[in-house]
Amino acid sequence: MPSILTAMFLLGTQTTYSLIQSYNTGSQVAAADVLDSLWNYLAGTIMPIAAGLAIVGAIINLATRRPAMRLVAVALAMLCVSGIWRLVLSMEA
Amino acid sequence: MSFNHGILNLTNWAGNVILPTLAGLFFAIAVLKFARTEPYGAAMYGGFLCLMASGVLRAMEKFASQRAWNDPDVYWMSLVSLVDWICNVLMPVYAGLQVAAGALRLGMVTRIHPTEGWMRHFVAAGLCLLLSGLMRLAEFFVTQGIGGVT
Repeated sequence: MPSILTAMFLLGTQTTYSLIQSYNTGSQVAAADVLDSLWNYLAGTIMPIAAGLAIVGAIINLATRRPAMRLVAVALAMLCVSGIWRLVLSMEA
Repeated sequence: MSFNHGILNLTNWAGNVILPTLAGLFFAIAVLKFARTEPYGAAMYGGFLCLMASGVLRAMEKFASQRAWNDPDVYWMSLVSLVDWICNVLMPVYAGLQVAAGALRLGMVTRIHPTEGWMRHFVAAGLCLLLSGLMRLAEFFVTQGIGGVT
């Protein structure tokens, strides 16, 4: 699975480059804007899809009598990334 | 091609094409294991879950959206919802299955002895329905134990 995801990322390099370019506001804080947009893209778009993959993995693990609960917890966490980040911030404060 | 579309299509392909196909394979494995008197539950439930992958994901999304996306308690509330759902929805259904299994075994087995399997089914059904009460009992013991032995 990591190899497949890496291959997909590499095949989509051009689109990822265009995406990051579209995040560039050209202002003095352009770097922060790009990082902020990337974080939103990761937490709001990629993570919920990855949660679906985690559920698929959990089902296959359950059927083949391998540990599955970890993947269920990970799927739930992937759907709550922003909340977990706020939780870390509130603990740090 | 973008990474977003790639991973989305991979998830859809795995969840909507591969898993329903594998469900048949898992059911076949369950039948073979049943014929050899080996444990077949994992393969059988795995087959059912393969057919319910989309529903399971929607359930997870429902659990994860109990609070606002930026609420620090969102993961905790997701886990609470998951536990609530398992204990108050799935376990009573499982209790019904256990009662039916116990009744079948009681009807088919002529010997009546405490070590027969039917009693285990009825006890399991009772425990499934008593989960909340057992939890409260454990909490009561812990609360009472805080003061120490007097």
